[in-house]
Amino acid sequence: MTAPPPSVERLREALIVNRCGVDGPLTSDAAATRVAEVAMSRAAGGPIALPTRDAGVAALELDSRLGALGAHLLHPDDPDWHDRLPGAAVGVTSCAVAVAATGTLAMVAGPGCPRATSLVPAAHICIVRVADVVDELADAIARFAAGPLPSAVSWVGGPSRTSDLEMRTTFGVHGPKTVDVVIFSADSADSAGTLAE
Amino acid sequence: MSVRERDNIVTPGRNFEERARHAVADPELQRALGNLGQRLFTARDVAHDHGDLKDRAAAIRREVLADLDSWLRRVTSTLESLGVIVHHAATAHDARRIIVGIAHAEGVRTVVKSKSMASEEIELNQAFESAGIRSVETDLGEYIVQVAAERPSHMITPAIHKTLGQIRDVLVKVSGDAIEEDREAITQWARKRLRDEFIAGDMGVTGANFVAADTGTIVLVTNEGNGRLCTTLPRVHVAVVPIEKIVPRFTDVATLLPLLTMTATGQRLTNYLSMITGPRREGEVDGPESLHVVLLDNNRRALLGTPYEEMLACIRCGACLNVCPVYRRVSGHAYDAVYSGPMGKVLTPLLSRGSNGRDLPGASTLCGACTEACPVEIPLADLLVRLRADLRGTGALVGARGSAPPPPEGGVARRERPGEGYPWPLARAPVVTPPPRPPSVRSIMFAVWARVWAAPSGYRISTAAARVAVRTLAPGRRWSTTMPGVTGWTRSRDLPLPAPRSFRDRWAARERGDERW
Amino acid sequence: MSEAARVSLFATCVVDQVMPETGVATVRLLEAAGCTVDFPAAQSCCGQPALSAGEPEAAAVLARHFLDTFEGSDAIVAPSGSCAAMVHHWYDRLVDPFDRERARAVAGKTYELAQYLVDVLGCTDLGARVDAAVTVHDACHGLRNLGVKAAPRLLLEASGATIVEMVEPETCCGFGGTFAVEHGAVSAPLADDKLTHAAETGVDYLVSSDGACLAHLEGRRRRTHTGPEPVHYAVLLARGLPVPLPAGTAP
Repeated sequence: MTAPPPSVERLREALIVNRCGVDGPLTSDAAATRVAEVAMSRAAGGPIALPTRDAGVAALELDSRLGALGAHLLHPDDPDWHDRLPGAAVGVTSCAVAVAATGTLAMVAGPGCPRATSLVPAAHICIVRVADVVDELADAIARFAAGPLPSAVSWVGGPSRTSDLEMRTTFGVHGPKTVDVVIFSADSADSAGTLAE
Repeated sequence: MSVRERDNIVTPGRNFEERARHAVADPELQRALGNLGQRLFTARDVAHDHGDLKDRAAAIRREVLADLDSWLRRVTSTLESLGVIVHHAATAHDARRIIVGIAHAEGVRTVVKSKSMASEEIELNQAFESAGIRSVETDLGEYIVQVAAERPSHMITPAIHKTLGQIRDVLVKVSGDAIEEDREAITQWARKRLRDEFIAGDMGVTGANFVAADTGTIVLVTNEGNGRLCTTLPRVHVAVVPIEKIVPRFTDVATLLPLLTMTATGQRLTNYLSMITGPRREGEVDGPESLHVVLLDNNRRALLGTPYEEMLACIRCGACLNVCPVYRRVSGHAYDAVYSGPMGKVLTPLLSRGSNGRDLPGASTLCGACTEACPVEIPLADLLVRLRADLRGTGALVGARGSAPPPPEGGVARRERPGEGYPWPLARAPVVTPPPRPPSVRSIMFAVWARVWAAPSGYRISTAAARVAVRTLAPGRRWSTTMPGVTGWTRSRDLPLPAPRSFRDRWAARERGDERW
Repeated sequence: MSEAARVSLFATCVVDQVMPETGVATVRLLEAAGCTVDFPAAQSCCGQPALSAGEPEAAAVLARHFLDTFEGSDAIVAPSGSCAAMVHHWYDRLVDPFDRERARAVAGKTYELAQYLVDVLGCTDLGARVDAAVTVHDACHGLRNLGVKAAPRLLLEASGATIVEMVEPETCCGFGGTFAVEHGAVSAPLADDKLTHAAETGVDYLVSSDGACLAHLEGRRRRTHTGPEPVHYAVLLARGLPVPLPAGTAP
């Protein structure tokens, strides 16, 4: 693969500063393997929550990969998804756009990709396509403003944190304690919109 | 029920002066406040590096204020077209009634709250409690002050006034659990405790940092994730939105948001942003089934067309608190108000129409650090000076809805900046319309003093007489330790006495040739 | 300069009545810079005490008097950042509408002393020699309303003084006019912070541009014995001027 574009390098650095784990940019295949590795490691035997309609998750065929590794999977169309999600150890999503300047990942909600997948489990793994990396927040907002907005866009910079305790930062207060990002370059000219279908 | 009757105000006292005196003498508070020093230069650095952002943000805020009613109509119709239920609350009382009404109608038993100054302003938790509804603050700092039965002391870090030991003690007392005095331990305890609340919550209540009029998008920022949890898990979401939070376009958020987060905490962006456009849609499995927006007026529109309109540009970043020499010494509770620091000194008497916080505008050195730090260029120190004049007597502050100047052709109605011809001359258009009463003794004394000193002989004679009197009482002394009438000074400092010969005496001597310089 | 600049001195009521040596020093510095100085005797006070006490009508009376007194001057110089700032920042809003232009015109030629010497005349070396170490407190109104920050430092550096910056030189000393009396419990600790920061630099003098700040700091120092002597930078510089004084004339 040729050298990654500057935005991707900038994104990597910003994510590291924000205390995310970062891998990539990788090819689809390598990315899929890596995501599965991290997910199994973080899950430590517990359930892994996956969306059912997520372009990145579909592109990497994570359902079958993780299923093959014996992972216990949880999907939003499972009958007791609401009750079981708090018990999930890992949530895997892709993001619609990633902002390099700030290390922020924007995830879109829709049918088959709930908001809570990236929020409730203690570990979040986020898949980022190189084509979805932009430089500045203004670029990301312009992308969203170009069309109708989804019901929720959730922007995440890293693990949940607070400095309410004597102004020193601690992590994992409400949202995920860990965020791992895997960046990949789509092999084929993936024309599917950046937003989850 | 009045908030003051319910809260344990940390610093006791009948007025700001007394409360401040206690605060200054409280060693644990002073130690806790030392932590705020890290944010002292944040706003200044942001202004230095992002001056263009500041200018654009200031312009966007004033664009809305120039025609707030029209923007309100626009945002209402956009929200309603998304299936959001919009309520208009003229007063805090109305807002409480509306929100409790929603809770009753939806069969809500537990409310989970994300940090919202607006909900503090309307005393919402007390209303829920009176209605038999459990309301739990989920922002860690807010949770701590809630269980301690105190008010938040800072809009961004509500528990800044507490040391770690004090925090641990409060949590142990309310839960009966054994918790170590350790940041990690407290954080994990809070995660577990509040996670149960999120899951049990029927209704999430948040504020809003901004609401875009063109798309109806509500923007919420947090670092903890509690804002997202409050707007994802419960089946009802109520956003309490003060009317000045409206921005014209979704794309304006790209200007305002980084400025807010950089100025407030030095972060390029907060860890979480939620951009919510309507309730859960067909086929989605989470997000609220019903989304309510309560647009809150509470005496804000009364400020339009007055010099105090500028205060509505505030984006609640907290920078003015972080740089204020007074706030940094006494912390938020000394103000005995929902909003503290310089912005609170302005907003409290205005929103309460002069019934609360009358002594707050005087509790300032007018150093201007707040004006300098404000990312949307609100002339805070000037507004404090105006309030000192307008709060004389017992007149309630009423909004004189004068006519604003029309916007320039094709341009944004940007108010003239202070010092460049601010359009409301101070002495001529007071916001207060006090009831007809004779001027106070103090006003008369100042009026006389000014007229005596505006006459050259008056100034010379009165100062010469004063100098003679003082030198008779304190012969030969340059400094006094006990001058009557100014014990507020002499209690802690020596007071310089007038010099034996004034400067003008010496100038005259020089003119005569009796002195050479 | 081909022609001497003509300057009207606005002594300010604090300097006139309480610290006249600052006025003398101001005149000496302006003359050392080649100015001709006059002193309109009708002057009194800029009106700040009334405005910050919430009595703008009284302040407007004094503002109008200031305009009457100084309208004909080429330049008005005051050894006080807060008084010069009062004229700049408030006068055109305090006076009646028909006086507004006059107020702007006068504000346009009113300066704080260091601002005038350095920014208008372009003078930093007045021939004064100060062999001392100093730290500078940036008095609030001069700093934030007039931009007085570099000018006093340039004058002091040109005189050979060593400047050691203290922690937080721009933070308010706690005077604030009526605040100093009505909120003494906060005013005094703020002075303590300033004096402590100054003491940490180990210098000989704490200088500033505002007599009121200096009186507040010295008044506190006399109780706590912390920190270097507060002094107006003009006084320090003027002491270092080479003009010999006849015996018996106080500086």
